[in-house]
Amino acid sequence: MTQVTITIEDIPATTQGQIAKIIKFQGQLDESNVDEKAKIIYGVIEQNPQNLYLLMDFEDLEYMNSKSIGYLTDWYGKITEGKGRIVIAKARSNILDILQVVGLTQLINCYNTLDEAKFALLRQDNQG
Amino acid sequence: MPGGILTYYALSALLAFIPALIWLSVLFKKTKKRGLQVIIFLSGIFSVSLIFAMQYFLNLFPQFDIVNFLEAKITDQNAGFIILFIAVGMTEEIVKQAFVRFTDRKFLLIETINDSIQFSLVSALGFSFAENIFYIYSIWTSFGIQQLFIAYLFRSIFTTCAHLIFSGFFGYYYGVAKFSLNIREQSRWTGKKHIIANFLAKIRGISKSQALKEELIIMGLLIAMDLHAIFDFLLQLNQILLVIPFVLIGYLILMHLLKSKAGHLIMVTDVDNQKASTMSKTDEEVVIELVGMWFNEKRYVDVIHICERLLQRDPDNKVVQMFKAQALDKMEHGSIYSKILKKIFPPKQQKSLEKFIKEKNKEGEIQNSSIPPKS
Repeated sequence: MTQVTITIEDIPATTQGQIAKIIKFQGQLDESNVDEKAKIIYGVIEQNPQNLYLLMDFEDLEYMNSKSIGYLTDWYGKITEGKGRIVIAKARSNILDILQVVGLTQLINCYNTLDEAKFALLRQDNQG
Repeated sequence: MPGGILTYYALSALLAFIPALIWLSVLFKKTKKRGLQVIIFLSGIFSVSLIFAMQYFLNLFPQFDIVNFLEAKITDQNAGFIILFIAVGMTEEIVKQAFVRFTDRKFLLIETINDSIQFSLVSALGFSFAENIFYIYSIWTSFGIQQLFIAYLFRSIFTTCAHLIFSGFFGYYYGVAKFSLNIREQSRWTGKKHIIANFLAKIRGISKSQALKEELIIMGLLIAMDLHAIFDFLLQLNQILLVIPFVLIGYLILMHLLKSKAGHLIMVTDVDNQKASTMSKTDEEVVIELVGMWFNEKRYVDVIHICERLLQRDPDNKVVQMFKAQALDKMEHGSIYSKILKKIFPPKQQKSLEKFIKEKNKEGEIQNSSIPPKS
């Protein structure tokens, strides 16, 4: 069974009502662990159904299987329905490649650094 | 009539050729393989002589006539007819298809599933044309020209169409069987299990692809032969009112098969000219697995768009081409039936990836239009 660790940290929000978190993935998401680990993210979304701002740190994520991509799509749907936002930071080139072919990079912005991702995550909508 | 038997046969041939020509022009308005069609048509005509040769042999050596043997054991007349028609159906369908398969092996005739259907239809037309000559001659000489008209019309339209349907289905399954390697590869991503083929592979010690190929060919033969037997049986019972819808429905299903995009895919791979994928195998497999998953979930729009992007990276990937074609078929062919079904069973609206993208793009346009231009 492959291992993956998910750590969640709060980010100080810039706007009232915003709930911002960094979710760091370390390891590989595959058939043996994805269903169990996805529940953690769903739990965060259920606890914060509105104005949830998630930064997914993929720096140490080595592999994503198709199911995890399906989950990512679902998370995007739920978070944006609740007027929230989701961004990805420091994804490896192979993962970016997969996300681009699937079309997810048109929905979820991907950034090379954590600072860029945080800035994009927390910026006001009418800022450039 | 002056000229005797030969004149009757010549005129019968002329009469039989008219519907064959009409069917050929209706079915194959645009085709690049006319030369091959003529050869297959002629082989269909020749295949009738094989049937006659078999009948002649069985008349000479009745001890080999298994059907007669079985009929003698059965007291029920209808059961006897069923056995006869199954035997006739099986023989005729195998013989009609034999030349198509032989020509395909020799000259790589079939590049798409539709090629297989079309050449099977042409062979059936040749067979039906030859059969009609004998029937027209027989009715004309036995009952006169007045009795010929209705029989001629019926044979030209319904019996010929029936032969097309039987051979069309067999041709479809032969086409799918020919590309069983790609079918099997696609099944890997949709999770479809080929239980019979896997069992055949185990007991016969052959590859799973070869077993799937054989399973599909046998299935095609069974369907063709059973439809043929049902048609003959209905005619035997004079159930013309059942024959007509039977043939009409069969024709509609055949046309549906011919119009499918998946059927038009060129499945023959020229390995030397195949372009390499610009994506790593592992990453590509993740995407194809997702495509398979979403195909099963009927997210056809997403499947099509992902396949389009994937084909930019790996244009010669047959499995991806098949997924795209089948998703397009599902969306188009569902139109008539799905409208009715959706009214009765409204589907759960599931947001698709592409819908999200469109909404996001729309939001971006609205935001941009609300930002005042810089002075």
